[in-house]
Amino acid sequence: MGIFKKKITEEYFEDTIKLLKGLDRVKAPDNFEFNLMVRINNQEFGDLEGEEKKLKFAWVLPPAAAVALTTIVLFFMLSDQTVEFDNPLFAPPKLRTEFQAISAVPRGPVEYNATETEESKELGRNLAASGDVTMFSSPSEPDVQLVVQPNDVIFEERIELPFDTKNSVNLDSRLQGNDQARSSNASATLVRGGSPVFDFNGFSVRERVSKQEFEAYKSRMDSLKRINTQR
Amino acid sequence: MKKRLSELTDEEVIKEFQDNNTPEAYEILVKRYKDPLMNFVFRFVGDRDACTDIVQDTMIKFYLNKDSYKSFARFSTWIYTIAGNLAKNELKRRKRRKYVSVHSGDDDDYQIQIEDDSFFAPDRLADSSIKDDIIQKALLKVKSVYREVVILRDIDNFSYEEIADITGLSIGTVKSRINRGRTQLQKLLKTIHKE
Repeated sequence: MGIFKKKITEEYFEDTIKLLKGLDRVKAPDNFEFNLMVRINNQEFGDLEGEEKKLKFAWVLPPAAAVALTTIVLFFMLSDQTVEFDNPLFAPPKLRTEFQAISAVPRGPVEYNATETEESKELGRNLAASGDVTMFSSPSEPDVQLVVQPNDVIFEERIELPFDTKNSVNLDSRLQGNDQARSSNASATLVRGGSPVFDFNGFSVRERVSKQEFEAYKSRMDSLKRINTQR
Repeated sequence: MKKRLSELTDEEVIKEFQDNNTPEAYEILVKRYKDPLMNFVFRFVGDRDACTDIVQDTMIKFYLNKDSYKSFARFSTWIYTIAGNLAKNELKRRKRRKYVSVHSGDDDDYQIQIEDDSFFAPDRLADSSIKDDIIQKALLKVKSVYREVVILRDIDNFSYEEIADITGLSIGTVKSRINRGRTQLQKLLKTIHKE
């Protein structure tokens, strides 16, 4: 069908095609080649060479502009993101051990020379001398804590809880189901009501705070209080 | 050496020109294509002086950019593309100049000359040069996008595929443009058809 249609079309324009094919052929002038060679030998290329250079330069422009634009957009996008990272809601949560490490590191007293007493100076000296011990609670052994010495030697130290083991309940063991046999009485004691003698001593926080650490915090608080009162 | 080069195909000759920068290879290609290109550009632009300049520029562009020719394309389609683009640029330049010009009545006079049966008496139409002139003027009345493909097909005898390569159009577009161009031309050449 397509071939038939093509034939009809060609036949339809047959006269026109014949006229066009019968046109005289236009020829180049005799001096065409001579003039061309003269132009080439004299490097007379007019705008043609310049056009090529312009085209080459123009070819470089769009990608360069695109790269520049992308860089600007990316710069603003990334700078916005850094602002978002400051938002605490987007910050990744810290590990528990990190908190423990921070809390276990003893902080010295706030330096305030005007009101510094001999007492606080001595306390600071003591801290500087012996306060480089860092403690962590061991995640595997609940009653053992890790102690890091100033020379980076780490050893485990057993925590001595200040409770009578007969009357106290180890909640971690209890929750893990390790201490069911002996803790049944204790738990009964714990929930018993109406007794005038209530032998529940409270909950123990496993993290042991050393005296030095406590003193360090105390002196720090004192220093802050002093600063506030002087203002 | 020269004789051997002249026996080679266009693609082989330009390869020689690209590889060894042989001036003879360039001269052979200029000799082969100067007349076909003159004919094509003259039918497209309609001005002999401008057409000579365009073909010269085509040859210089070919000389300057010989390395941009890739061997998978036919040399003829490549050089016709250069010539066609330069011819189109010339037409655009003229169009711009025409808009600026205060005189705009030339085009109407031109149409009368072609379509008015009384302008050329039938006995005068026998003269082939006048006939050629009428056909050329009718060709120039056809829209340039149609004119280019009609010339390439019906005067320079290129295949549809080659025309598609030269113009950068699809074969379907080439065919439809050729038909539209021929239709326009047929209407314009009623006088000669009757004769």
